[in-house]
Amino acid sequence: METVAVDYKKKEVAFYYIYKALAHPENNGYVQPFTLQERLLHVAEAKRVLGSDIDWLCDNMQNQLKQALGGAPNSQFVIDPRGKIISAAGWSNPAELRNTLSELVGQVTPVTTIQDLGLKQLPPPRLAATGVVSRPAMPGLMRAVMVKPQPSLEPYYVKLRAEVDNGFMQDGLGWMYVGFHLDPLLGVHWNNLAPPLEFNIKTPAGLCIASSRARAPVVKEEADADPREFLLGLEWDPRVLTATDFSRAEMIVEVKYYACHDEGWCRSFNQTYHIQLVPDRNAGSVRSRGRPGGMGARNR
Amino acid sequence: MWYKILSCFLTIALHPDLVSAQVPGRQPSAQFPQVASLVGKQLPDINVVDAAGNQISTSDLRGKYTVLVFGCLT
Repeated sequence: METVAVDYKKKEVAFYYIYKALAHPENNGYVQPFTLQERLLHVAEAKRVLGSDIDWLCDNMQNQLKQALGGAPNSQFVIDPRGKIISAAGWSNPAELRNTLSELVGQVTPVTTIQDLGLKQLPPPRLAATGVVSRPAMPGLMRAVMVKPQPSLEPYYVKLRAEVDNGFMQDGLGWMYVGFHLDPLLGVHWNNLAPPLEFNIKTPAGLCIASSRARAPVVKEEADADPREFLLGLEWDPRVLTATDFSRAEMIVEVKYYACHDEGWCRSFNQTYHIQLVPDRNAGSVRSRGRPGGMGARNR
Repeated sequence: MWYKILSCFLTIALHPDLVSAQVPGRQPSAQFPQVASLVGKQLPDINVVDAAGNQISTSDLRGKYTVLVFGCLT
């Protein structure tokens, strides 16, 4: 893509990457941002690690542009000067794009190669120790559900991801995954010299959770960056909570944790989330759970 | 009653973001036929921001051929 951009910018073609929600959270430790400001940190990080010269635009937090253009995670479009879509691919294909542009505005010779560009790609942020806290085995296919962070004066240094399993989807009886992940772009690590993370969950009538309070394990290392994860039994009683009310029902999660910033400060945080047990189509799918580092960045 | 929650989750099961790598042997583009169907349509007018946080509309991109590629860190 970089070479096509270099060649066709000479022919007055504009190129933009559109930053959107993460397709695969946890790869290289990255987690879904909660705010537009945090998504812009992702954009800056993408520029840093990819070494790209292509300009970035950032979709809004409702992901309206992505949804309006088909919802694919790595799609590619050519727009004509009047704003009409004249080429669309569900998956980015630079060779195809070069052909399309050459038909529209003419060939470019010589063709720039990736070696010509000497892109400086950098590694993802260096985290505190990982692989310290064992991760739970998932009971099966998991689906992300809606997590709504409530207003907080402090950034969400730790971000909640919630998922439910097939058993719950099919029978109303199964498991809920609750994972608290450090945001690597906010420069914090767990302070294990302080008490471990703890949380409580309040559920509406008709939703029963096996454990309404939980505490992360004590960790011997002074600091680490592993997620604090829990699997909780969950049961829905449709006689008490009707299907109509189910989609609106919210669970309330209050979490307390201690974190230290890489610059030196250490603090405690109390933050609150609401969880709705409805699918979050912008949450992405975790591919690297339990494998530190994940699969690496896309779009190189 | 159960069909409502099932249909709720089937929606996500069928969402392309979540099936993109779960169908072996298919070309990625073939998994997103809804994208190809956009050819010939007008780029919708949607507010986004540039890397500095300045709000712009996709209609501001008119005036020259423009390539848009969706991506993220992962």
